[in-house]
Amino acid sequence: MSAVTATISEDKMGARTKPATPDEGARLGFRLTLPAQILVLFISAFPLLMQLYISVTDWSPLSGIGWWNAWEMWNSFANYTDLAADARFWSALQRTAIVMLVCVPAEFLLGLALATLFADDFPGKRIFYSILLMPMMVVPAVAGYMFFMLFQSGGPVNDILSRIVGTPVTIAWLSDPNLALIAVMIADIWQWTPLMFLILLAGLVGVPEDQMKAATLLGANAWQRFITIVLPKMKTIIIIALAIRVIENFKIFDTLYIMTGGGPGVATETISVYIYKVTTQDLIWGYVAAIALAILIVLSIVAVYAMKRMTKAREVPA
Amino acid sequence: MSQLIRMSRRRLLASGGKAAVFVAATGIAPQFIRPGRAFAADALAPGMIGGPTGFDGAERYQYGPDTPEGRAVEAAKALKAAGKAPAKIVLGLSDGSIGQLTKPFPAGAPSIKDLWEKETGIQIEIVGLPNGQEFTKTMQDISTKGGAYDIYSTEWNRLGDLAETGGIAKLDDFVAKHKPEWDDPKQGYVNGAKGVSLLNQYRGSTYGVSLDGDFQTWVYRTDLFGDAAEQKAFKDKYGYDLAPPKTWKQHSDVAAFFQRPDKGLFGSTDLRNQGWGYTNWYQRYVSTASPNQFLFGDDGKPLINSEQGIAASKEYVESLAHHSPDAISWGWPEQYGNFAKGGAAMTCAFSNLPKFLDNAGNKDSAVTGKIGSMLPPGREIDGKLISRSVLWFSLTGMVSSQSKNPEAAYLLLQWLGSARIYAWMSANPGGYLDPFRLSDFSDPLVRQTYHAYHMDVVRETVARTVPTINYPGATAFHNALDENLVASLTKAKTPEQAMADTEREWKKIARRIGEDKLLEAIKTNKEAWPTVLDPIS
Repeated sequence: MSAVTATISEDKMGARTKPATPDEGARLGFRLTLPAQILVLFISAFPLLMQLYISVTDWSPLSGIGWWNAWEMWNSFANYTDLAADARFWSALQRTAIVMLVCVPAEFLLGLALATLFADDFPGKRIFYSILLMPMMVVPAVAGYMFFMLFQSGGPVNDILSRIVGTPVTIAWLSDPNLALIAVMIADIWQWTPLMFLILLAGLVGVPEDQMKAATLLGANAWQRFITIVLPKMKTIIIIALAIRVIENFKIFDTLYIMTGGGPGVATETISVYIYKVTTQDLIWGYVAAIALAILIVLSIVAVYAMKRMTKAREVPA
Repeated sequence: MSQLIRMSRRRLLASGGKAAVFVAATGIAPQFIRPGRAFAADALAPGMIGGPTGFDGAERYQYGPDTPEGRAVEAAKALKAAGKAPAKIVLGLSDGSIGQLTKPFPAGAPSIKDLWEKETGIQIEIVGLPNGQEFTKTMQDISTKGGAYDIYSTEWNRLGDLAETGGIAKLDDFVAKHKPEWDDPKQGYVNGAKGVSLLNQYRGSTYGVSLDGDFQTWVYRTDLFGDAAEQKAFKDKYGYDLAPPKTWKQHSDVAAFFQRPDKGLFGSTDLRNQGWGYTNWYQRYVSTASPNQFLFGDDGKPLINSEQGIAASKEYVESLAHHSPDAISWGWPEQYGNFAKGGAAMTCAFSNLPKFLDNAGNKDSAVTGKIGSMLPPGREIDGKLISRSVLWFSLTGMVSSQSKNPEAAYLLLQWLGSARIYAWMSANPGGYLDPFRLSDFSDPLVRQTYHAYHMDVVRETVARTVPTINYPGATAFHNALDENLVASLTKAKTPEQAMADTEREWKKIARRIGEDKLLEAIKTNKEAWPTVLDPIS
């Protein structure tokens, strides 16, 4: 009898019983999932190792040699030292950080405010709910072109501003290096606030009603209830929402690329746009691999940090 | 036997005679009933082995056995008969150009795709590529060894980059075997063998077959330029007659004169955005010396960080004053849209602008019947006018190294890119592939679609056109120039800084590619630069 079957017994009714000890159960679980684990390991480890390998070479598809022979163009860690000195990379990273620091908090606050409004019933809630979620459903490339048109100097945005201020406004949003990024951020906030709203609303409706009622009876006002009950209860979900948007914002591309192509000049060139250009235009893929690996490390740090915060949040009794 | 089907010999003969008369009447008589209609409208002209039928003048596009088209079709048929031809050839093609292969033109004609399939028995599967993404998709297929296409079609000046990847097949043997006659003096490429070398070859070998002619051409509004009040006002202000500008100075005056943004009119809308705008800088830069101001010296050193480069850049930045405030974000869709609604006095665009906008079928165009063509503005140097345009984008067909039937793929390209089929295809208003062969400019159908007034100017523009960079690193070289020019347009850099930075980046790119590899390509590229000098009138 094999070790696997030895740990499983059947009762008189033929139903399976639990393995004899937790250790045996763990071993069984490990063995059963081993093929899947090997597959997952291969899927995730292979590209990573390949990326690491390419990143220490000068390999480019223009070289005419296959990537597996990239060792012929070994350059030690020159790509990484180049990266450290690449002003354009750092300014793209800085720009990405600006987008993240503006968009994520804005989407969070707007999403939370809207979720709070939608936590209670009101007439027409379902209709407003659908309308509110619509931006998220729009294909980012379409949203990009929509905002490209909106922000033309003779477009609707300037038209609305003209009506508000009473004089013609002809701001060339997308041609101005200082304003183009603002236009891009407005588009991002428009499109992704609904996602934040949806996640936060899910968290909000999960707050125990009895605790809220008890706090009300004890004389807590709305703000106090929000700070002492709602926020702690939603901590995990807030961290998830923020982590998703931080990671997604780090990769901001479609809408931005359609609106500005990273320009004017490099005024809206975020890290994704920079990588895209270096990949498809300069074709220096050894360097691209080094950039991508550096970014993977940064994003992994964010993810680990978020996971830690989430674990901590779960450990603290509400 | 039933009485119904019983027939006497006399009746049989009488019925047979009637049938013969009927067949003769319907089969032969139309030539006499409609004497103006060509024989080829219904069948191939005598001696022809293939080509379209079904429309007046179809015989112009038919071919005999000893023609590039005839040889391509016969060779494809032979491959098929020997079981060596594929069931289908997969062709990656810009979305905007597919119509020229799939839509019948003119009325009564077959489509290009149907004709090839009928004549050879080999299907064409066209995979649409998003406009502007052709190179990216091609590189994806090459680098991932995807093998999704037999034929790539991408910008002409990527040939060097793609040849270096090993992803496109060398076509020398096929060219020698099937004789495409691209350098035919009457209907071949402009500049003959030099033109072929520029468009189809890299480092002395053929890697592509040109399928497009994106010679940037200037157009203007005839209603504005012909208006007596405008002419008087212009002369009063500038002291000379209002006319299509011949020099950049005149261009600046005319653009400033018509710059009326409050009335929805801009002086000149030649592009200034990233990715497209630098071609208009090219025109200003290359005309700063006689016969040309080159981008690189014979020793491979960049020449742009010079008095000429800085002057052209300053002029380029100053000209922004006569554009839309959104000029830096406008691509050709916005440019065409604006021109269609009468929003510009002049612009520089692909040669197909009049095909789409001076078109009675285009109800959205407010400029139908109001477009004129002009040669590019230039500069007076040593008593001559140096007027230069630029070749940019222009699709070229390339056979994938992964194709299992490279010869069949090449034969399709030879057939498509040959004089008769190409003229017929480029006349088709269903897409973006534009005329470029000598024979195209005089072809009646092409002249009808593109307008006779325009074709004559395009032909002269071609003779004054410089090629963009077409050697390895082309994209990186252009990108560096482009970004620095946009930086100067947005005042993030001065023209001096922009040129100095471009030079530095170009040197870096050249080092990476290998300077020795570039020298030969630079030399070949230079050989195709124009030498036409115009008199100053």
